[in-house]
Amino acid sequence: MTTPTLAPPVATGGFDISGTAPVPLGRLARVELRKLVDTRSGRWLLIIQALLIVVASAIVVIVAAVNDESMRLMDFTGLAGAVMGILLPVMGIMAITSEWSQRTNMATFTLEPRRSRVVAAKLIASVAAAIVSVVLAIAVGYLATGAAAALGVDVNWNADLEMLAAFTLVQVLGLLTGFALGTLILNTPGAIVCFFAYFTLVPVILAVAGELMGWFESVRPWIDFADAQLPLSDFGQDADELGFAAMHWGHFTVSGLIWFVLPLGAGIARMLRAEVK
Amino acid sequence: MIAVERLTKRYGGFTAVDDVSFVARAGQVTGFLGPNGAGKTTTMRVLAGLTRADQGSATVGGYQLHEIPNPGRHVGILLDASAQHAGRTGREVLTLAARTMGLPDSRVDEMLALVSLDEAESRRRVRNYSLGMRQRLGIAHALLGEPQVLILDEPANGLDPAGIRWMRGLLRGYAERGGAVLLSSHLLHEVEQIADEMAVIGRGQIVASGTKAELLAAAGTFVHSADDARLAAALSSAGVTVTPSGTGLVADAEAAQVGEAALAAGIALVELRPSGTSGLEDLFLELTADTQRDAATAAPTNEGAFA
Repeated sequence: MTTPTLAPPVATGGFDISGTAPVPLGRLARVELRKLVDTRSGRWLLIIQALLIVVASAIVVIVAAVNDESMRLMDFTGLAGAVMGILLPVMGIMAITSEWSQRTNMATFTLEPRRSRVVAAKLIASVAAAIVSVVLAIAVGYLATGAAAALGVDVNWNADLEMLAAFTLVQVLGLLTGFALGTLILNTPGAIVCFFAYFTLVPVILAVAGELMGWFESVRPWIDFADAQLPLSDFGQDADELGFAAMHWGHFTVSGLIWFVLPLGAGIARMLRAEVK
Repeated sequence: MIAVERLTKRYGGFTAVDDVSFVARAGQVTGFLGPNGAGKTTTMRVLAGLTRADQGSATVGGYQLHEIPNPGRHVGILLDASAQHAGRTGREVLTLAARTMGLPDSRVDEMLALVSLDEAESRRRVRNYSLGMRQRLGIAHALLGEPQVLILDEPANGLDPAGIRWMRGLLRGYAERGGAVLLSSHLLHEVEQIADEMAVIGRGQIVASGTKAELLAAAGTFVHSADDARLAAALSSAGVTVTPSGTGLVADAEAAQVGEAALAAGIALVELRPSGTSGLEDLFLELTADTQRDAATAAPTNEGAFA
Protein backbone atom coordinates (compact mmCIF):
# COMPACT_ATOMS: atom_id res chain seq x y z
CA MET A 1 0.00 0.00 0.00
CA THR A 2 1.50 3.33 -1.02
CA THR A 3 1.85 6.27 1.29
CA PRO A 4 -1.22 8.46 0.87
CA THR A 5 -0.56 11.79 -0.79
CA LEU A 6 -3.18 13.79 1.01
CA ALA A 7 -3.51 17.46 0.20
CA PRO A 8 -2.86 19.38 3.42
CA PRO A 9 -5.91 20.78 5.16
CA VAL A 10 -6.15 24.51 4.69
CA ALA A 11 -6.30 25.69 8.24
CA THR A 12 -3.53 25.48 10.80
CA GLY A 13 -5.27 26.42 13.99
CA GLY A 14 -7.94 28.71 12.60
CA PHE A 15 -11.23 27.64 11.12
CA ASP A 16 -12.06 30.22 8.50
CA ILE A 17 -15.39 29.90 6.72
CA SER A 18 -15.59 33.49 5.51
CA GLY A 19 -14.26 32.65 2.05
CA THR A 20 -16.65 29.77 1.39
CA ALA A 21 -19.73 30.34 -0.72
CA PRO A 22 -22.86 28.40 0.18
CA VAL A 23 -23.96 25.62 -2.16
CA PRO A 24 -26.08 27.32 -4.86
CA LEU A 25 -29.62 25.98 -5.24
CA GLY A 26 -29.06 25.32 -8.96
CA ARG A 27 -26.14 23.04 -8.18
CA LEU A 28 -28.19 21.17 -5.60
CA ALA A 29 -31.02 20.78 -8.12
CA ARG A 30 -28.63 19.37 -10.76
CA VAL A 31 -27.34 16.86 -8.23
CA GLU A 32 -30.91 15.87 -7.36
CA LEU A 33 -31.72 15.46 -11.06
CA ARG A 34 -28.74 13.14 -11.37
CA LYS A 35 -29.97 11.13 -8.39
CA LEU A 36 -33.29 10.55 -10.20
CA VAL A 37 -31.56 8.64 -12.98
CA ASP A 38 -28.35 7.21 -11.51
CA THR A 39 -29.95 4.16 -9.90
CA ARG A 40 -31.55 1.21 -11.62
CA SER A 41 -34.96 1.90 -10.13
CA GLY A 42 -34.93 5.54 -11.22
CA ARG A 43 -33.61 4.80 -14.69
CA TRP A 44 -36.03 1.93 -15.30
CA LEU A 45 -38.97 3.98 -14.16
CA LEU A 46 -38.22 6.45 -16.96
CA ILE A 47 -37.43 3.72 -19.51
CA ILE A 48 -40.65 1.82 -18.70
CA GLN A 49 -42.61 5.03 -18.94
CA ALA A 50 -41.17 5.76 -22.40
CA LEU A 51 -41.70 2.15 -23.55
CA LEU A 52 -45.30 2.05 -22.36
CA ILE A 53 -46.12 5.28 -24.17
CA VAL A 54 -44.49 4.08 -27.40
CA VAL A 55 -46.09 0.62 -27.25
CA ALA A 56 -49.54 1.96 -26.35
CA SER A 57 -49.34 4.54 -29.15
CA ALA A 58 -48.25 1.85 -31.64
CA ILE A 59 -51.20 -0.35 -30.68
CA VAL A 60 -53.62 2.54 -31.08
CA VAL A 61 -52.13 3.41 -34.48
CA ILE A 62 -52.51 -0.21 -35.66
CA VAL A 63 -56.05 -0.52 -34.33
CA ALA A 64 -57.01 2.77 -35.96
CA ALA A 65 -55.46 1.67 -39.27
CA VAL A 66 -57.20 -1.71 -39.21
CA ASN A 67 -60.60 -0.31 -38.22
CA ASP A 68 -60.24 2.67 -40.55
CA GLU A 69 -60.90 5.17 -37.76
CA SER A 70 -59.83 8.79 -37.57
CA MET A 71 -57.22 9.94 -35.01
CA ARG A 72 -56.31 13.27 -33.46
CA LEU A 73 -52.87 14.33 -32.30
CA MET A 74 -54.43 15.10 -28.92
CA ASP A 75 -55.64 11.49 -28.61
CA PHE A 76 -52.04 10.36 -28.40
CA THR A 77 -51.21 13.06 -25.88
CA GLY A 78 -54.12 11.87 -23.74
CA LEU A 79 -52.86 8.31 -24.02
CA ALA A 80 -49.36 9.32 -22.88
CA GLY A 81 -51.02 11.25 -20.06
CA ALA A 82 -52.69 8.09 -18.80
CA VAL A 83 -49.29 6.39 -18.54
CA MET A 84 -47.52 9.37 -17.01
CA GLY A 85 -50.38 9.98 -14.61
CA ILE A 86 -49.34 6.75 -12.93
CA LEU A 87 -45.56 6.81 -13.25
CA LEU A 88 -44.68 10.47 -12.68
CA PRO A 89 -46.21 10.46 -9.16
CA VAL A 90 -44.13 7.36 -8.41
CA MET A 91 -41.06 9.28 -9.52
CA GLY A 92 -42.08 12.16 -7.23
CA ILE A 93 -42.51 9.72 -4.36
CA MET A 94 -39.16 8.06 -4.93
CA ALA A 95 -37.30 11.36 -5.20
CA ILE A 96 -38.00 11.67 -1.49
CA THR A 97 -38.40 8.16 -0.15
CA SER A 98 -35.41 6.44 -1.75
CA GLU A 99 -33.11 8.70 0.26
CA TRP A 100 -34.87 7.73 3.49
CA SER A 101 -35.02 4.01 2.83
CA GLN A 102 -31.42 3.86 1.61
CA ARG A 103 -30.34 6.29 4.34
CA THR A 104 -28.42 8.41 1.86
CA ASN A 105 -30.07 11.42 3.46
CA MET A 106 -27.34 11.22 6.11
CA ALA A 107 -24.82 12.21 3.44
CA THR A 108 -27.23 14.62 1.74
CA PHE A 109 -28.07 16.49 4.93
CA THR A 110 -24.50 16.71 6.16
CA LEU A 111 -23.43 18.23 2.84
CA GLU A 112 -26.38 20.66 2.96
CA PRO A 113 -27.75 20.82 6.52
CA ARG A 114 -30.32 23.44 5.55
CA ARG A 115 -32.84 20.77 4.69
CA SER A 116 -35.40 23.15 3.21
CA ARG A 117 -32.93 23.82 0.40
CA VAL A 118 -32.58 20.09 -0.26
CA VAL A 119 -36.39 19.80 -0.45
CA ALA A 120 -36.53 22.78 -2.82
CA ALA A 121 -33.80 21.24 -5.00
CA LYS A 122 -35.71 17.94 -5.13
CA LEU A 123 -38.88 19.79 -6.07
CA ILE A 124 -37.12 21.65 -8.89
CA ALA A 125 -35.47 18.46 -10.15
CA SER A 126 -38.72 16.46 -10.09
CA VAL A 127 -40.69 19.16 -11.89
CA ALA A 128 -37.92 19.46 -14.49
CA ALA A 129 -38.04 15.69 -15.04
CA ALA A 130 -41.83 15.86 -15.37
CA ILE A 131 -41.62 18.63 -17.97
CA VAL A 132 -39.01 16.72 -19.98
CA SER A 133 -41.31 13.66 -19.84
CA VAL A 134 -44.25 15.75 -21.07
CA VAL A 135 -42.24 17.17 -23.97
CA LEU A 136 -41.08 13.69 -24.98
CA ALA A 137 -44.66 12.39 -24.69
CA ILE A 138 -45.89 15.15 -27.00
CA ALA A 139 -43.09 14.30 -29.44
CA VAL A 140 -44.16 10.64 -29.39
CA GLY A 141 -47.70 11.87 -30.12
CA TYR A 142 -46.47 13.65 -33.28
CA LEU A 143 -44.57 10.55 -34.40
CA ALA A 144 -47.62 8.35 -33.78
CA THR A 145 -49.89 10.75 -35.67
CA GLY A 146 -47.41 10.74 -38.55
CA ALA A 147 -47.29 6.94 -38.50
CA ALA A 148 -51.10 6.79 -38.48
CA ALA A 149 -51.26 9.19 -41.44
CA ALA A 150 -48.70 7.07 -43.30
CA LEU A 151 -50.92 4.04 -42.76
CA GLY A 152 -53.82 5.87 -44.33
CA VAL A 153 -55.66 6.86 -41.16
CA ASP A 154 -57.58 10.13 -41.32
CA VAL A 155 -55.64 12.33 -38.85
CA ASN A 156 -56.21 15.69 -37.21
CA TRP A 157 -52.87 17.46 -36.61
CA ASN A 158 -54.50 20.24 -34.63
CA ALA A 159 -52.28 20.89 -31.59
CA ASP A 160 -54.45 22.71 -29.10
CA LEU A 161 -51.95 24.87 -27.20
CA GLU A 162 -54.34 25.47 -24.35
CA MET A 163 -54.84 21.74 -23.88
CA LEU A 164 -51.11 21.07 -24.13
CA ALA A 165 -50.57 23.61 -21.36
CA ALA A 166 -53.38 21.96 -19.36
CA PHE A 167 -51.82 18.56 -20.00
CA THR A 168 -48.45 19.77 -18.70
CA LEU A 169 -50.05 21.30 -15.63
CA VAL A 170 -52.00 18.14 -14.80
CA GLN A 171 -48.90 15.97 -15.13
CA VAL A 172 -46.82 18.27 -12.95
CA LEU A 173 -49.63 18.35 -10.37
CA GLY A 174 -49.75 14.54 -10.37
CA LEU A 175 -46.03 14.37 -9.74
CA LEU A 176 -46.29 16.97 -6.98
CA THR A 177 -49.10 15.01 -5.30
CA GLY A 178 -46.78 12.00 -5.24
CA PHE A 179 -43.97 14.19 -3.95
CA ALA A 180 -46.22 15.47 -1.16
CA LEU A 181 -47.21 11.95 -0.12
CA GLY A 182 -43.53 10.96 -0.24
CA THR A 183 -42.57 13.71 2.20
CA LEU A 184 -45.47 12.79 4.45
CA ILE A 185 -44.93 9.02 4.54
CA LEU A 186 -41.16 8.81 3.89
CA ASN A 187 -41.47 5.19 2.80
CA THR A 188 -41.62 4.02 -0.82
CA PRO A 189 -44.20 1.21 -0.72
CA GLY A 190 -46.36 3.05 1.80
CA ALA A 191 -46.43 6.23 -0.25
CA ILE A 192 -47.12 4.35 -3.50
CA VAL A 193 -50.00 2.40 -1.94
CA CYS A 194 -51.35 5.61 -0.50
CA PHE A 195 -51.10 7.40 -3.83
CA PHE A 196 -53.01 4.67 -5.68
CA ALA A 197 -55.61 4.57 -2.97
CA TYR A 198 -56.04 8.30 -3.51
CA PHE A 199 -55.94 7.82 -7.28
CA THR A 200 -58.40 4.90 -7.59
CA LEU A 201 -60.33 4.43 -4.35
CA VAL A 202 -61.05 7.96 -3.23
CA PRO A 203 -63.00 8.99 -6.37
CA VAL A 204 -65.10 5.80 -6.07
CA ILE A 205 -65.76 6.30 -2.38
CA LEU A 206 -66.68 9.93 -2.96
CA ALA A 207 -69.02 8.95 -5.82
CA VAL A 208 -70.71 6.24 -3.74
CA ALA A 209 -71.04 8.59 -0.78
CA GLY A 210 -72.61 11.11 -3.12
CA GLU A 211 -75.12 8.48 -4.28
CA LEU A 212 -76.02 7.43 -0.75
CA MET A 213 -76.19 10.85 0.81
CA GLY A 214 -77.81 13.53 -1.27
CA TRP A 215 -76.31 16.42 0.64
CA PHE A 216 -72.81 15.00 0.07
CA GLU A 217 -73.13 15.57 -3.68
CA SER A 218 -72.88 19.31 -3.07
CA VAL A 219 -69.81 18.90 -0.86
CA ARG A 220 -68.01 16.45 -3.14
CA PRO A 221 -66.71 18.88 -5.81
CA TRP A 222 -64.91 20.75 -3.06
CA ILE A 223 -63.01 17.70 -1.86
CA ASP A 224 -62.47 15.70 -5.07
CA PHE A 225 -59.14 16.89 -6.47
CA ALA A 226 -59.12 14.51 -9.45
CA ASP A 227 -62.63 15.60 -10.41
CA ALA A 228 -61.65 19.25 -10.14
CA GLN A 229 -58.89 18.66 -12.72
CA LEU A 230 -61.16 16.92 -15.24
CA PRO A 231 -61.57 19.90 -17.58
CA LEU A 232 -57.78 19.84 -17.96
CA SER A 233 -57.18 16.11 -18.07
CA ASP A 234 -60.08 14.44 -19.91
CA PHE A 235 -59.63 15.29 -23.60
CA GLY A 236 -62.67 13.22 -24.57
CA GLN A 237 -65.17 15.75 -23.19
CA ASP A 238 -67.28 18.20 -25.09
CA ALA A 239 -65.52 21.44 -25.96
CA ASP A 240 -67.55 23.51 -23.52
CA GLU A 241 -66.47 21.35 -20.59
CA LEU A 242 -62.83 21.38 -21.65
CA GLY A 243 -60.02 23.81 -20.93
CA PHE A 244 -59.13 26.45 -18.39
CA ALA A 245 -62.39 28.34 -18.95
CA ALA A 246 -64.38 25.28 -17.80
CA MET A 247 -62.45 25.00 -14.54
CA HIS A 248 -64.17 25.60 -11.24
CA TRP A 249 -61.24 27.31 -9.62
CA GLY A 250 -62.87 27.36 -6.19
CA HIS A 251 -63.27 23.56 -6.27
CA PHE A 252 -59.75 23.18 -7.61
CA THR A 253 -58.24 25.39 -4.91
CA VAL A 254 -60.09 23.86 -1.98
CA SER A 255 -59.63 20.23 -3.03
CA GLY A 256 -55.99 20.98 -3.93
CA LEU A 257 -55.51 22.39 -0.46
CA ILE A 258 -56.79 19.13 1.04
CA TRP A 259 -54.97 16.66 -1.20
CA PHE A 260 -51.82 18.53 -2.06
CA VAL A 261 -50.97 21.57 0.05
CA LEU A 262 -51.79 20.05 3.45
CA PRO A 263 -49.86 16.77 2.92
CA LEU A 264 -46.94 18.69 1.42
CA GLY A 265 -46.86 21.19 4.27
CA ALA A 266 -47.10 18.50 6.94
CA GLY A 267 -44.59 16.33 5.08
CA ILE A 268 -42.02 19.09 4.69
CA ALA A 269 -42.44 20.09 8.33
CA ARG A 270 -41.79 16.47 9.25
CA MET A 271 -38.76 16.19 6.98
CA LEU A 272 -37.19 19.34 8.34
CA ARG A 273 -37.52 18.15 11.93
CA ALA A 274 -37.09 14.40 11.64
CA GLU A 275 -34.11 12.76 13.22
CA VAL A 276 -32.16 11.19 10.39
CA LYS A 277 -31.34 7.61 11.30
CA MET B 1 -11.77 22.80 16.86
CA ILE B 2 -14.60 20.54 17.93
CA ALA B 3 -16.30 21.55 21.14
CA VAL B 4 -19.01 19.56 22.83
CA GLU B 5 -20.38 21.48 25.79
CA ARG B 6 -22.75 20.12 28.39
CA LEU B 7 -24.56 18.15 25.72
CA THR B 8 -27.67 16.24 26.76
CA LYS B 9 -29.97 14.17 24.58
CA ARG B 10 -32.93 12.20 25.85
CA TYR B 11 -35.15 9.68 24.16
CA GLY B 12 -38.28 9.49 26.22
CA GLY B 13 -37.12 8.48 29.67
CA PHE B 14 -33.74 7.29 28.43
CA THR B 15 -30.83 9.72 28.58
CA ALA B 16 -28.53 8.74 25.73
CA VAL B 17 -26.07 11.59 26.29
CA ASP B 18 -25.88 13.13 29.73
CA ASP B 19 -24.10 16.48 30.20
CA VAL B 20 -21.16 15.53 27.99
CA SER B 21 -18.29 17.97 27.43
CA PHE B 22 -15.00 17.48 25.62
CA VAL B 23 -12.92 19.10 22.90
CA ALA B 24 -10.95 17.87 19.90
CA ARG B 25 -8.05 20.12 18.94
CA ALA B 26 -6.47 20.92 15.59
CA GLY B 27 -3.35 18.87 14.89
CA GLN B 28 -4.52 16.04 17.10
CA VAL B 29 -6.39 12.80 16.85
CA THR B 30 -8.99 12.61 19.59
CA GLY B 31 -10.33 9.19 20.41
CA PHE B 32 -13.90 8.91 21.62
CA LEU B 33 -13.99 5.66 23.46
CA GLY B 34 -16.82 3.75 25.00
CA PRO B 35 -18.79 0.53 24.89
CA ASN B 36 -21.63 0.08 22.44
CA GLY B 37 -24.67 2.12 23.39
CA ALA B 38 -22.66 4.53 25.53
CA GLY B 39 -23.71 7.62 23.54
CA LYS B 40 -20.81 8.02 21.10
CA THR B 41 -22.91 7.89 17.96
CA THR B 42 -25.62 10.15 19.38
CA THR B 43 -22.98 12.76 20.25
CA MET B 44 -21.50 12.58 16.75
CA ARG B 45 -24.94 12.77 15.17
CA VAL B 46 -25.62 16.00 17.05
CA LEU B 47 -22.29 17.34 15.73
CA ALA B 48 -23.42 16.36 12.22
CA GLY B 49 -26.74 18.17 12.63
CA LEU B 50 -28.78 14.99 12.21
CA THR B 51 -30.05 14.90 15.79
CA ARG B 52 -31.19 17.83 17.88
CA ALA B 53 -29.63 18.40 21.27
CA ASP B 54 -32.00 18.81 24.22
CA GLN B 55 -29.43 20.88 26.10
CA GLY B 56 -25.91 22.08 25.49
CA SER B 57 -24.15 22.40 22.18
CA ALA B 58 -21.86 20.60 19.78
CA THR B 59 -19.92 22.88 17.47
CA VAL B 60 -17.10 22.79 14.94
CA GLY B 61 -14.89 25.87 14.92
CA GLY B 62 -17.55 27.60 17.02
CA TYR B 63 -20.33 26.93 14.50
CA GLN B 64 -23.18 24.51 14.31
CA LEU B 65 -22.96 22.56 11.08
CA HIS B 66 -25.90 24.35 9.45
CA GLU B 67 -24.15 27.68 9.97
CA ILE B 68 -21.18 26.58 7.88
CA PRO B 69 -21.52 27.33 4.15
CA ASN B 70 -20.80 24.31 1.95
CA PRO B 71 -19.94 22.33 5.10
CA GLY B 72 -18.39 19.44 3.16
CA ARG B 73 -15.45 21.75 2.41
CA HIS B 74 -14.79 22.22 6.12
CA VAL B 75 -15.99 19.15 7.98
CA GLY B 76 -15.63 15.59 6.74
CA ILE B 77 -18.18 13.25 8.28
CA LEU B 78 -18.45 9.47 8.26
CA LEU B 79 -21.20 8.22 10.54
CA ASP B 80 -22.28 4.98 8.91
CA ALA B 81 -20.41 3.48 6.00
CA SER B 82 -23.42 1.34 5.10
CA ALA B 83 -25.71 4.34 4.67
CA GLN B 84 -25.18 4.55 0.94
CA HIS B 85 -27.57 3.67 -1.87
CA ALA B 86 -26.90 -0.01 -2.54
CA GLY B 87 -27.58 0.48 -6.24
CA ARG B 88 -25.03 3.24 -6.82
CA THR B 89 -21.43 2.56 -7.68
CA GLY B 90 -18.74 3.77 -5.31
CA ARG B 91 -17.63 6.22 -7.96
CA GLU B 92 -21.17 7.58 -8.35
CA VAL B 93 -21.49 8.10 -4.58
CA LEU B 94 -18.35 10.23 -4.60
CA THR B 95 -19.37 12.02 -7.81
CA LEU B 96 -22.67 13.15 -6.25
CA ALA B 97 -20.81 14.53 -3.23
CA ALA B 98 -18.14 16.20 -5.37
CA ARG B 99 -20.79 17.86 -7.55
CA THR B 100 -22.69 19.04 -4.47
CA MET B 101 -19.53 20.65 -3.11
CA GLY B 102 -18.66 22.12 -6.51
CA LEU B 103 -15.48 20.08 -6.90
CA PRO B 104 -14.15 18.77 -10.22
CA ASP B 105 -14.75 15.08 -10.97
CA SER B 106 -10.97 14.57 -11.00
CA ARG B 107 -11.13 14.88 -7.21
CA VAL B 108 -13.13 11.63 -7.18
CA ASP B 109 -10.27 9.76 -8.86
CA GLU B 110 -7.77 11.24 -6.41
CA MET B 111 -9.84 10.07 -3.44
CA LEU B 112 -10.40 6.61 -4.92
CA ALA B 113 -6.62 6.29 -5.33
CA LEU B 114 -6.08 7.56 -1.79
CA VAL B 115 -8.27 4.86 -0.26
CA SER B 116 -6.97 2.18 -2.67
CA LEU B 117 -10.23 1.40 -4.42
CA ASP B 118 -9.22 0.48 -7.96
CA GLU B 119 -11.00 1.33 -11.20
CA ALA B 120 -12.97 -1.93 -11.36
CA GLU B 121 -14.00 -1.72 -7.70
CA SER B 122 -15.11 1.88 -8.07
CA ARG B 123 -17.53 0.81 -10.82
CA ARG B 124 -19.13 -1.90 -8.71
CA ARG B 125 -22.37 -1.21 -6.91
CA VAL B 126 -22.05 -0.53 -3.20
CA ARG B 127 -24.35 -3.55 -2.63
CA ASN B 128 -21.39 -5.74 -3.63
CA TYR B 129 -18.87 -4.01 -1.37
CA SER B 130 -17.45 -5.65 1.72
CA LEU B 131 -17.74 -3.66 4.95
CA GLY B 132 -14.05 -2.82 4.64
CA MET B 133 -14.57 -1.40 1.15
CA ARG B 134 -17.55 0.61 2.38
CA GLN B 135 -15.38 2.07 5.15
CA ARG B 136 -12.76 3.05 2.59
CA LEU B 137 -15.45 4.63 0.44
CA GLY B 138 -16.80 6.44 3.50
CA ILE B 139 -13.36 7.77 4.37
CA ALA B 140 -12.92 8.93 0.76
CA HIS B 141 -16.33 10.62 1.02
CA ALA B 142 -15.31 12.39 4.23
CA LEU B 143 -11.96 13.57 2.81
CA LEU B 144 -13.37 14.65 -0.56
CA GLY B 145 -13.80 18.33 0.29
CA GLU B 146 -10.34 18.72 1.88
CA PRO B 147 -11.91 19.50 5.25
CA GLN B 148 -10.01 20.82 8.26
CA VAL B 149 -12.03 18.61 10.61
CA LEU B 150 -12.85 14.92 10.41
CA ILE B 151 -15.63 13.25 12.39
CA LEU B 152 -15.51 9.48 12.01
CA ASP B 153 -17.77 7.00 13.80
CA GLU B 154 -16.13 3.60 14.20
CA PRO B 155 -14.03 4.04 11.05
CA ALA B 156 -11.98 0.90 11.70
CA ASN B 157 -15.05 -1.37 11.73
CA GLY B 158 -14.69 -4.00 9.06
CA LEU B 159 -11.16 -3.05 8.07
CA ASP B 160 -8.60 -5.85 8.07
CA PRO B 161 -5.40 -5.38 10.13
CA ALA B 162 -3.56 -3.95 7.11
CA GLY B 163 -6.49 -1.60 6.53
CA ILE B 164 -6.49 -0.45 10.14
CA ARG B 165 -2.78 0.25 9.89
CA TRP B 166 -3.31 2.17 6.67
CA MET B 167 -6.06 4.26 8.25
CA ARG B 168 -3.91 4.97 11.28
CA GLY B 169 -1.15 6.33 9.01
CA LEU B 170 -3.67 8.34 7.02
CA LEU B 171 -5.25 9.99 10.06
CA ARG B 172 -1.88 10.63 11.75
CA GLY B 173 -0.67 12.34 8.59
CA TYR B 174 -3.87 14.33 8.44
CA ALA B 175 -3.50 15.52 12.03
CA GLU B 176 0.18 16.34 11.56
CA ARG B 177 -0.83 18.66 8.72
CA GLY B 178 -3.02 20.57 11.14
CA GLY B 179 -6.35 18.80 10.82
CA ALA B 180 -8.52 17.88 13.76
CA VAL B 181 -9.75 14.29 13.94
CA LEU B 182 -12.47 12.96 16.20
CA LEU B 183 -12.91 9.24 15.89
CA SER B 184 -14.99 6.90 17.96
CA SER B 185 -14.39 3.30 18.80
CA HIS B 186 -15.50 0.69 21.27
CA LEU B 187 -12.08 -0.94 21.11
CA LEU B 188 -9.49 0.52 23.45
CA HIS B 189 -6.60 -0.99 21.55
CA GLU B 190 -7.60 0.77 18.36
CA VAL B 191 -7.91 4.20 19.94
CA GLU B 192 -4.80 3.82 22.05
CA GLN B 193 -2.65 3.27 18.97
CA ILE B 194 -3.80 6.33 17.11
CA ALA B 195 -5.19 8.95 19.49
CA ASP B 196 -3.28 11.75 21.17
CA GLU B 197 -6.18 12.57 23.41
CA MET B 198 -9.06 10.50 24.61
CA ALA B 199 -12.51 10.99 25.97
CA VAL B 200 -14.00 7.89 27.54
CA ILE B 201 -17.78 7.68 27.69
CA GLY B 202 -19.94 5.21 29.57
CA ARG B 203 -23.73 5.23 29.89
CA GLY B 204 -23.98 8.69 28.37
CA GLN B 205 -21.42 10.33 30.64
CA ILE B 206 -17.76 11.20 30.19
CA VAL B 207 -15.92 9.07 32.72
CA ALA B 208 -12.35 10.08 31.85
CA SER B 209 -10.63 12.40 29.43
CA GLY B 210 -7.17 13.76 28.79
CA THR B 211 -4.00 12.99 26.90
CA LYS B 212 -2.93 9.42 26.52
CA ALA B 213 0.01 10.06 28.89
CA GLU B 214 -2.33 11.42 31.55
CA LEU B 215 -4.64 8.46 31.29
CA LEU B 216 -1.69 6.06 31.34
CA ALA B 217 -0.33 7.75 34.47
CA ALA B 218 -3.73 7.41 36.06
CA ALA B 219 -3.52 3.71 35.33
CA GLY B 220 -0.62 3.33 37.77
CA THR B 221 2.85 1.80 37.80
CA PHE B 222 3.82 -1.79 37.25
CA VAL B 223 6.55 -3.00 39.59
CA HIS B 224 8.31 -6.31 40.07
CA SER B 225 10.96 -6.77 42.74
CA ALA B 226 13.07 -9.35 44.54
CA ASP B 227 10.37 -9.52 47.23
CA ASP B 228 6.99 -8.37 46.00
CA ALA B 229 5.17 -9.31 49.20
CA ARG B 230 7.38 -7.05 51.33
CA LEU B 231 7.22 -4.27 48.72
CA ALA B 232 3.44 -4.48 48.69
CA ALA B 233 3.40 -4.09 52.47
CA ALA B 234 5.82 -1.16 52.27
CA LEU B 235 3.70 0.58 49.64
CA SER B 236 0.49 -0.07 51.54
CA SER B 237 1.94 1.44 54.69
CA ALA B 238 2.88 4.49 52.59
CA GLY B 239 -0.79 4.79 51.65
CA VAL B 240 -0.46 3.46 48.08
CA THR B 241 -3.07 1.04 46.80
CA VAL B 242 -1.45 -2.10 45.44
CA THR B 243 -2.96 -4.89 43.38
CA PRO B 244 -1.21 -8.03 42.20
CA SER B 245 -0.83 -8.13 38.43
CA GLY B 246 0.83 -10.94 36.50
CA THR B 247 4.42 -11.40 37.66
CA GLY B 248 4.36 -8.28 39.83
CA LEU B 249 2.21 -5.52 41.25
CA VAL B 250 0.37 -2.49 39.98
CA ALA B 251 0.76 0.45 42.33
CA ASP B 252 -1.59 3.39 42.15
CA ALA B 253 1.31 5.85 42.26
CA GLU B 254 4.00 7.36 40.07
CA ALA B 255 7.17 5.40 39.34
CA ALA B 256 9.35 7.74 41.45
CA GLN B 257 7.25 7.19 44.54
CA VAL B 258 7.35 3.41 44.08
CA GLY B 259 11.13 3.54 43.57
CA GLU B 260 11.62 5.55 46.74
CA ALA B 261 9.46 3.15 48.74
CA ALA B 262 11.56 0.24 47.45
CA LEU B 263 14.81 2.02 48.29
CA ALA B 264 13.62 2.86 51.79
CA ALA B 265 12.65 -0.77 52.36
CA GLY B 266 15.90 -1.99 50.82
CA ILE B 267 14.22 -4.14 48.15
CA ALA B 268 15.94 -4.57 44.76
CA LEU B 269 13.70 -3.71 41.82
CA VAL B 270 13.53 -5.98 38.80
CA GLU B 271 11.04 -4.04 36.74
CA LEU B 272 9.50 -0.56 37.06
CA ARG B 273 7.33 1.05 34.35
CA PRO B 274 3.98 2.66 33.68
CA SER B 275 1.47 -0.15 33.75
CA GLY B 276 0.74 0.82 30.15
CA THR B 277 -1.60 -1.01 27.86
CA SER B 278 -2.88 -3.52 30.34
CA GLY B 279 -3.35 -0.80 32.91
CA LEU B 280 -5.32 1.36 30.52
CA GLU B 281 -7.40 -1.63 29.58
CA ASP B 282 -8.13 -2.28 33.24
CA LEU B 283 -9.01 1.37 33.57
CA PHE B 284 -11.33 1.19 30.59
CA LEU B 285 -13.04 -1.93 31.86
CA GLU B 286 -13.30 -0.48 35.32
CA LEU B 287 -14.65 2.85 34.10
CA THR B 288 -17.22 1.17 31.99
CA ALA B 289 -17.82 -1.92 34.10
CA ASP B 290 -21.26 -0.95 35.28
CA THR B 291 -22.22 0.11 31.79
CA GLN B 292 -21.25 -3.13 30.13
CA ARG B 293 -24.02 -5.39 28.99
CA ASP B 294 -22.00 -8.45 30.06
CA ALA B 295 -21.64 -7.14 33.58
CA ALA B 296 -25.22 -6.04 34.04
CA THR B 297 -27.73 -8.53 32.74
CA ALA B 298 -30.55 -6.31 33.88
CA ALA B 299 -29.45 -3.51 31.54
CA PRO B 300 -32.24 -2.20 29.32
CA THR B 301 -32.21 -4.17 26.10
CA ASN B 302 -33.22 -1.27 23.91
CA GLU B 303 -30.05 0.63 24.72
CA GLY B 304 -28.36 -0.54 21.56
CA ALA B 305 -30.95 1.23 19.45
CA PHE B 306 -29.32 4.51 20.29
CA ALA B 307 -25.79 3.34 19.60
